[in-house]
Amino acid sequence: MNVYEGVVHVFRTAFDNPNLELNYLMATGDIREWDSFKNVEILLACEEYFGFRFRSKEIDAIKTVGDLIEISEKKLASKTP
Amino acid sequence: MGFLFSTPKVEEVLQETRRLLKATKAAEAATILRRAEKKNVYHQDFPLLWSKIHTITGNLDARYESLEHFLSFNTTDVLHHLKVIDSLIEDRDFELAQHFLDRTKRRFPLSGLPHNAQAKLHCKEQDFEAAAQCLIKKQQYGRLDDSDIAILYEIRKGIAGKPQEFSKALFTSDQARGILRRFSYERFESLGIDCEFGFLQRHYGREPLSLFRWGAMPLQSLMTLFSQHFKGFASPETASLNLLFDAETGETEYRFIDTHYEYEAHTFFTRKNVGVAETETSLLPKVRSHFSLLARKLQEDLEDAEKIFLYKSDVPLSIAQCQELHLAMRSIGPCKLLVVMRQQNQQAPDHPLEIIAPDLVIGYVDYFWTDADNPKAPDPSLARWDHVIQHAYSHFIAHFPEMDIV
Repeated sequence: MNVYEGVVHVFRTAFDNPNLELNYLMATGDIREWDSFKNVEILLACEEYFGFRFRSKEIDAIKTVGDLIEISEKKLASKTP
Repeated sequence: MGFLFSTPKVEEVLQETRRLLKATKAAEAATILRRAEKKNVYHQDFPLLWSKIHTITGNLDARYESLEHFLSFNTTDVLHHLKVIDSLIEDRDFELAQHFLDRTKRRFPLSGLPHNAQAKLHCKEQDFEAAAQCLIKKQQYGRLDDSDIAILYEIRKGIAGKPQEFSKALFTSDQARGILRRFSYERFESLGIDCEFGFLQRHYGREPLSLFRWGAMPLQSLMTLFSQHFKGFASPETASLNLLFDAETGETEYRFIDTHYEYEAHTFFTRKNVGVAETETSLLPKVRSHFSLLARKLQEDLEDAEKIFLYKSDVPLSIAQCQELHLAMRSIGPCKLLVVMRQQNQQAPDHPLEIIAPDLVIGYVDYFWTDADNPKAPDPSLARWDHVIQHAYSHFIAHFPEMDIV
């Protein structure tokens, strides 16, 4: 499973919608009930799913789904195997 | 490396290949990709990784083919095409980046995004005037957005306070000034005492995640939280939910409470938006995780000490009290603190900051939103707040008088 698919899985679980589709430019508010509280839930779910922890600066840099995917990819790439 | 002998997961392949490329181990990276492809494991970024391998080995024709291959996956998405430019800028091959960028501009003549990429490229080439010209051009295709902020800062730094024709025009444009002003609000982190600054950030289009944006604790507890390095915050022993009725909104909301630090925050969970099966017991672990993450985030911010921390006090604080709070914060990191209080003398001073120490200032606003005599109630005193924020921003962050956004 790649990062995009992982993030889609996290969003579908968070919004309890198995058919939810994402695109890279989507941001807070683009889905009903997507607010800042939901953002924390998504971040926590991504941390658990991918097995890393976001740094504060990374969280601040995430504005869109694309940012979340890109930062997650970078974090996975920099994880020591 | 065991995954090489079984079917590798695409994520592991990407991760391992990028790691090897970082160490310029092209042969090993190629082996990983080749093995994955043989096992029909594929990702659309593989051609980009191949292009990097060919860059290291000096096989320029193969690199060009890999980039073409990557572009062929998606001929209609400008962001996909710009990934090639980013990759080439990362490899510092500015000539080839320019070649692909020219092609992207021809393919997507109505998009402003290639002008952002062009500005980025000019910045890398240290041509900051040309970069400024690109962002001016981008404004003709739409608006500057968050993706331009880093470039604006790079240009501002690059021209080192000596703007010429295009940079002067850029930094005096409403869009650039507006975006820099909005961005400045993101550099501040509220420490309470209420949500006024959180709403100001929202007014300027910023929605940062922050422990004290929608929460507060008494000053003494705040200092204890910092001096104890957040010890035990949101622990099962001290955390609870309290269902509160707000007579103004008619809503019943769960508030998160940490009894040890006397912290109380909005959860925005109301009877309307939580499932019928949810109870306080089922909600609490979720809410605790939420606030634990925010606490962890704040602690990192205090350690990194890059943000400007803002403590609004609705009662006048002495300089000694401000220094005490600052000292507690400095037990974690060398933080910058802006304390905002209501000015006692209604005559607005020219400079709304009192500088106590290089990294401790006090700002004064005319009214707080909840003040009984606030003529704009329930709104904050926007202009006055902005005056304080922009002066504090200029004080703490590099100051460029020629392009002052105050």
